Order: sequence, then C-alpha cells, then structure tokens
Amino acid sequence: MTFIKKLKQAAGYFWAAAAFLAALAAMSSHEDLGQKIAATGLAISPVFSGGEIARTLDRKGYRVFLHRPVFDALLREKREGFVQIDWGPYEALPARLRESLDLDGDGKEETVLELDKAAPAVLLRTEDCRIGPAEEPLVVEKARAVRLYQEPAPPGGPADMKKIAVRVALRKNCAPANGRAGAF
Amino acid sequence: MENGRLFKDMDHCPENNAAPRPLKSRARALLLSLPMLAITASMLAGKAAFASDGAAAAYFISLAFLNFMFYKMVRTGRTDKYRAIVFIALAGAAAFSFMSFFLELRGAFGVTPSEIMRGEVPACHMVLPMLFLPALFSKTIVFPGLITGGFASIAVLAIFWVAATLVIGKGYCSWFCFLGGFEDGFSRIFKSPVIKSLRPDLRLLPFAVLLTAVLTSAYTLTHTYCEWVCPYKMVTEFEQVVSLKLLVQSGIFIFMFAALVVILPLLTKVRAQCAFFCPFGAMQTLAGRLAPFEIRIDTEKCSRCGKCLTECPDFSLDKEALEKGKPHISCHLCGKCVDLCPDKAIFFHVKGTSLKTNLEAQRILFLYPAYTFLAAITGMNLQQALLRIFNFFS
Repeated sequence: MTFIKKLKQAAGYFWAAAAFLAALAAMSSHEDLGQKIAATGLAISPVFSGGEIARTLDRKGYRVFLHRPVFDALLREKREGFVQIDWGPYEALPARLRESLDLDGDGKEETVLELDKAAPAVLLRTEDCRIGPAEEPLVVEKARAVRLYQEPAPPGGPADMKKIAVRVALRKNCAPANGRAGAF
Repeated sequence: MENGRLFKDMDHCPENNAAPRPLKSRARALLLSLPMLAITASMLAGKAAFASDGAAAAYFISLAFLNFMFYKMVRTGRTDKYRAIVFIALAGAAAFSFMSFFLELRGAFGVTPSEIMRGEVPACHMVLPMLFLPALFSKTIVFPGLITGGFASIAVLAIFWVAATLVIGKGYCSWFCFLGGFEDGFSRIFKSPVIKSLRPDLRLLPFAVLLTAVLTSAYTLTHTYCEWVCPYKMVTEFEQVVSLKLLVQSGIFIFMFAALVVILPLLTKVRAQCAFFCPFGAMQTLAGRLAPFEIRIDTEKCSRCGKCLTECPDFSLDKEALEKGKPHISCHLCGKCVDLCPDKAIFFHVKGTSLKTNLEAQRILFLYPAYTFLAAITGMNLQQALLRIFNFFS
C-alpha cells in the first residue's frame, strides 16, 4: 500500500470518527447552539409575523398597534403588500371598534376600520386607492405583538396578549381616480 | 443457524478475507451492542422519562426495542431488514404522537390561522431547502415557526440536519427522516413490482422540484412546497380549511399522499415521494457528498443476477451503476442491496479506505452513527406515542 493510499485510509477513518463525535456533541448541546443561531439576528419573516410595530396608539384601556407596511421581497420590494393592525388586550376592548388610522404615516388619517369584538368582521373605508381590501380579522390567542425579537418583548409592546389582528392589503402605487395617493 | 447460513453463503467467495464477516457469537454481538445501549439509554433518559410509571414503561420498552433491533443487525449481518422495522415504527409513532399531541392541544389536526400568526407551527426538515436563500439575503425565516424553544423549533431542526448530514449524508433519508417509513412500508407489501420499468431520467425530477421550490419560495417569501404539494401534510398537519384556496390545497395533499406515498410505492416497490418528488432529498443528495460513508459494488464479485436492481427502493441501481461499482447519488444507504446480494458484492464503505479491507468492520462503523440517529428520533417519538397510549388506557 502506497503512502498516499495509507494517508487516504487514515483520513477516511478519522473523518468517520470525527464526524460522529461532532454529531453527538451537536445533538447533546442543541439548546445552546439554537440560542446562538437565534442570536445571529435571524427572524421569522414579516410575511408571517406581520413585521415590527411602527406606532402604538393608546386608547381607553386598550392599545392599537400599527405594524410597518410589509412589501418585503428577497432583494427589492414587492408592489403589493399589507399592513397589520392589532387591538389588545382582547379583554379590554369595547364591543365595537371604530378606528381612524394613518396607515402611510403622512400625518393624515386616511383610513377608517370598524369591527365587532364578538363576531369580528371588518369594514374598511378609505379614499386612498392604495389601501384595501382588508382580510378577515383574526382573534389571536396569547400572541406577542412583535415576534421578530424573541425575548424580551420590545418596550411599549405587550409581552403576551390575546388580540384582534387585521391585515389590510396595500399597493405601492396606483392611479387615483377620485382618491388621493401618497408614498409608502 | 443464521450465522452458519451466512458463512456458507460466503464460502464460494474467492476473496473470503475481504468479504463481510458476520459476528461469530452472541457474546461478540452483545459486546458490540453495548456502546449503543449506553448511547440510547442516555439519549432517551430525558427530564420526563421517569415522571410516571407510564413514562418509565415507555422508556424501557423503547430502549429494549431499539437495542434488540441493533443487536439483531450486528449479529445477523443484515442491515435493512431491522432498519426497516425501526424506520416504519418511527413513521407510525411520529405521526401518532404528533397528531394526538395537537389534537389534545387545539382540539383539531389543522393548524389555525391564529397559530400561524403567532409563529407556533412546528417545523419539519422538508422546509429547510426553502429557508436558505431568504435567510441569506433578508435574514428572515420564511416559515411561521419558532426559531428556538417550543415544539420542533427551526434552530434545533437545522442543528440536527447539519449533524446528520456530516455523518450519514444522504443516509438521512433512510435513517433519520420520520416520514419516509410510510413509503418504505408500502413498498414492501408486494413481493415483486407491478410496474417494472421506470424512465432513468426520473432521477432528475427531485432536482427540478428542489429548484422550483427554492426559487418560488424566494420569490414569494413563503414555503411553497409545504403550502401546496407536500404529501406528508396528511400525516402531520395542514391548515384548517377556512377558504377555497385551503380547500384546493387540502385536496392536493390528499392526492399526493395517495399517489406518491401509497399507490406508487405499492406498484413500483420504489419510495416514490423520496425518489421523484422530495426537494429535501435532492438537497441531501448534494449536501450528503461530504459524509464519509457510501455503498460500493465489487464489480469482480458481482454475478449480474440483477436482484438488487429490482429491489432498490431508491431507484439508485441499474446496469450502469453495477458497471461503475457504485450506486447513483440518490442512494439512501438503506442497505437493502447489501442484505440481498447473493454474491456479497455490495457493501458499506468508508470513503478513502481500501475496498479490500474488513468490510464487516466498515458496516459496523457505519451502523453506530446511522443507528444513533435512527434511535434518537425513533426513541423520542416511540416514547411519546407509548405514553399517550398508556395514558389513554389508565
């Protein structure tokens, strides 16, 4: 057997043994390694989480959480996206919610959302052609307002609450007929 | 005696020294099984393993089952026969414990829209190929699961995947996947295939599925394969049908499960979902090249009887492979061909080592890591499934 063959053989056995030991080590310390992966800043996509909370509005006994508009795509931004609005805590919400909101952040409230707490069905009124329609509202049990950061919960956002969440479709641009259009 | 028969089978081999040598005695097999007993005993002894009589019973039954199978594997020299029993048990136990857990938790199998928004959907390895591009470019995970903590988090899944890939490579699909046992079971029901010839270029299909899944997921920032076509949604979980889109998706899941997991494996004896449609398997074919183990064929010993060609469940063996001395890259290292070969011409092999070294030793070297992975995931699921059954009857 030549030296090169012996070397290859030794390397083969070494790799087999080392890989097995490394695998055992990784499996036994998977919780620590998992924390290290989480610490890299990887986050659940806003497509699922709704994105970070951009603004929090204080109401009587409850809060409205306006998430940032989500147009996320792999490299640039999509033309169509959504914005998520949460109301919580659920227990403190009035029977009927009527909310005037500034979804594009230009200082003017261009959207009105109305929904019932008991049987959530949303009514959206706006003159902005970039906004709407709204998805069926969802009662989310024990949700974190922001999932992008695992722990601790961000200041101003509740750590864990039952809430009503609504997602409103958005378009980057549109040709306004009678409505007005700004920039998201 | 089985050992005697195996020795007789080997008598005609011209290079008896190089052929796999089954262990001569029970004592030797027991000795070789002791490290596995120690590994599995510590792996299965989690915090809740002795929390109740039922949990302790589940622990000891799982431990006994897994170690008996390993002992039989070592003693008889047959790999696939006992691997398949454990692998099929794994699929059944995983589906049962998973579905019953969520039935208990939420009162239904289906994932609720609320759970998706909360990001509490348990992750599955099938989603991994679709996560890499978005994670690389946007630092986001396109799956509504937990990064750490909870039931089956993405980080833990990724760690186990890296570990298994480094050690057993494509063997993941026959030694660690908790879904493949369904097809493996169905592919063994008929003695011979009803559909005997399959187009060889079908081997490329998983790569096309992988490419499509990766690109569409990157474009939409969702896990498209899982959302639309994954057959295994039927035995894990799918979204509650609350819209026409979800009704269509559920219909597709049922069709894909029936076609790829039940009917085609029955008719072809090939694990059809794994061989033709699994994006994770295709990714594993590429990533698994790093692993130190492979299957090799001694072209001089091979009498070209063709038994392995009709029995390979991965669609990895044909005349070309026999001539080349190694199966196609889609090989799952299940060991069925190694068990079946009457010439003992097919064997497990550590890359870089001589093809004429002690092949039984190389098989044992492969079995330790491969069976550790199989035992880890089977033990965990079997314990949970048994505990649920005990709790139900008590």
